[in-house]
Amino acid sequence: MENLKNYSRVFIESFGIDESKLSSLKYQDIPEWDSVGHMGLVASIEEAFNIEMEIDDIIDFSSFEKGLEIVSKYKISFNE
Amino acid sequence: MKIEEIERIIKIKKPLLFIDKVVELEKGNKTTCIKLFTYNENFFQGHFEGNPIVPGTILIECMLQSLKLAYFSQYDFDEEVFLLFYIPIVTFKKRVIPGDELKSEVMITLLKNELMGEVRSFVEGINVCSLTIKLNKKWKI
Amino acid sequence: MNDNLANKGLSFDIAGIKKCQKNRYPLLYIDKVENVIPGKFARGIKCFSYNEWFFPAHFKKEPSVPGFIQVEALVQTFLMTFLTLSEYKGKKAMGLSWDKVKFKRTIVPGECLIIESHLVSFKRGIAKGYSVSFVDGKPACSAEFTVVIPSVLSKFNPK
Repeated sequence: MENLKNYSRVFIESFGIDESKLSSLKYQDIPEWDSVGHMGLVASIEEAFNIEMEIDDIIDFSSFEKGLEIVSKYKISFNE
Repeated sequence: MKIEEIERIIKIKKPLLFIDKVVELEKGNKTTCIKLFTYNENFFQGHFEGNPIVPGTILIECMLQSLKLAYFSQYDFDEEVFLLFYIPIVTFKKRVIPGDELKSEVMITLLKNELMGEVRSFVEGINVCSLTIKLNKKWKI
Repeated sequence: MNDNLANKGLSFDIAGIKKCQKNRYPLLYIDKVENVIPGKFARGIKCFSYNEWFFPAHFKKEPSVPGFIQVEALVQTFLMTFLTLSEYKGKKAMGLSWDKVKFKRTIVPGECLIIESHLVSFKRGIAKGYSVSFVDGKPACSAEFTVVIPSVLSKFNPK
């Protein structure tokens, strides 16, 4: 649960968004998640989980939900 | 407020005056100012040819002049004013282009004898730039 | 543009500067850039002459360089730390944020601003670094910058 909390917190801090809006959030849904916001988000996720994402994964990271799948590939568990 | 009045308060004239209209003013405290950007201004020619964008520095100057208006409107100086200041943070969120109307909202607070200013700018309700600033006033009387 | 000895770095005149960045008159605020180590460091020079558009209005009795013009010179020198890399020459760059902007002295016509810019990190199209500047060896304006190259960022955009 800790990992999921941290993951959510990165989104909330990066975009100033409400927690209730997270699960359905996709790239370009909000003005803050533009190409620049995307790189900022990726950098913050990398720092939070001490990982370095591959380019293909950065491109695939198109939503909050999809991001969970991608970050799990880096041996981060989001299960209880 | 007329342009002449703005020029008198902040001691800046064309072609460096970046305020067109004052919507709200609480002297010494806060203000909302408007600057319209038109392609017919000298800086667009060089920034950039074929793709005019308001330079970040011009946006900042615009916001700083609104701040000066808020602060100096409470005084009545005849001499020109120098202000040295420290800007901890500026963030640019969205580009501003010819045809945009920039609305700058200024809030000034006095914190332990230090002037702090918060300026946020909007185009059509979207926040395009914000800055926090610490002022050290230095003027000649 | 000359290629100096390796330990002196590269030099750029106006023509060379224009090949690297898109700022043009009346918004090009550096005259010469020297000691460039692409990807790392650049030293810029901006001479201020009364014959510039902003002096008569700032101010009539005692002309001085407006703060935003000083910052522009600092940013434009900073751009030369990475736009001098061959794969980035001529690319459009956009300012994202400035931090810790300090003005330490007024600058008047007849003075030359020497700007030293350092690129601290440059990854995935986001450049971070800082510029410090001097007049006659004394500190003038300084600031930290984050600048992005949109065309590089777009390679990382989700489809």
